[in-house]
Amino acid sequence: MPDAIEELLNRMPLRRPPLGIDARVLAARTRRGRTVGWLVSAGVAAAAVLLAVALYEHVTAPRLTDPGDPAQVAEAPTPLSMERQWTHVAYEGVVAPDGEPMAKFRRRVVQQLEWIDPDDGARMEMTVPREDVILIKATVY
Amino acid sequence: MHQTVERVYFDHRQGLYTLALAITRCPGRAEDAVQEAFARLWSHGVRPTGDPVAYVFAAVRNAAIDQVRRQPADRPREPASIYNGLPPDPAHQAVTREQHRAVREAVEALPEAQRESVVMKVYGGLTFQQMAEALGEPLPTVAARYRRALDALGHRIRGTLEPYHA
Repeated sequence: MPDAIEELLNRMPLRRPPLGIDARVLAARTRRGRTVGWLVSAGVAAAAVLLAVALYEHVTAPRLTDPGDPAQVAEAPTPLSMERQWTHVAYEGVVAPDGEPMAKFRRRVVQQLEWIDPDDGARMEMTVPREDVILIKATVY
Repeated sequence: MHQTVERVYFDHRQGLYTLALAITRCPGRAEDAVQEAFARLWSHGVRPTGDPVAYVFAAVRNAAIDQVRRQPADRPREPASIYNGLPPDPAHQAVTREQHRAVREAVEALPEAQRESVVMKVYGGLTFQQMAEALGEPLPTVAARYRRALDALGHRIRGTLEPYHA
């Protein structure tokens, strides 16, 4: 009986994959190099910007003590700062906003900055979430 | 790794698409799921551990499940079948109209996990070992589920099966 059912199942006409599916799957492969390259470039640029911002913040951060008093400046401990960043890039398929196929990626970045005053352990934290949608021209064969 | 994944795609394209369709119940989302699965496989540069066929089926299944989760709940649609309609010419029909209707309804009435197991085994051509790897479950569990699915189908389509095999 199970064999007869398997045989019957095998004779059923299956819905065929659409004609364009091969092109879409293979395009995902050929796009990879450019996509990764683009993301790496974007990552490097973002890192450079963040580094510049972090350095700027570090240099311009208000001191916890009065800089007018040389004794206090000498003794005041520098706040520790830490920065963490999480990035997630999700592929969301192909879209055609203007009739031209584009691969759509959603990049979510959470940047967390934390300052700790080593003197009294006071802690200040800032979390900055960011989300970008990236469209990359897709090549269809 | 890319050649292996590509070979699995071309060897199992129908089975992969049918699995995605069985999960999403929507041809467009099934196509998106297959493409998304391969985009992930290639963009992450993952090296399959174990059987590459099981690995690719697992990737497509996960992408299809993601597609279902992303589907807006306020837009219900008629679920699409994994089966095509019968060709108009009876000479080209491998099953009778009654069998076609009965099997289609019986497969669609199966619980989701059992329907997936039927698709993976019958239309994907996977072994129980590959199914166990793809689903991350013990082999006896997977095999028992498939047997239960066949039993359930047998109860539903027995009436149409017997005249054919008589």
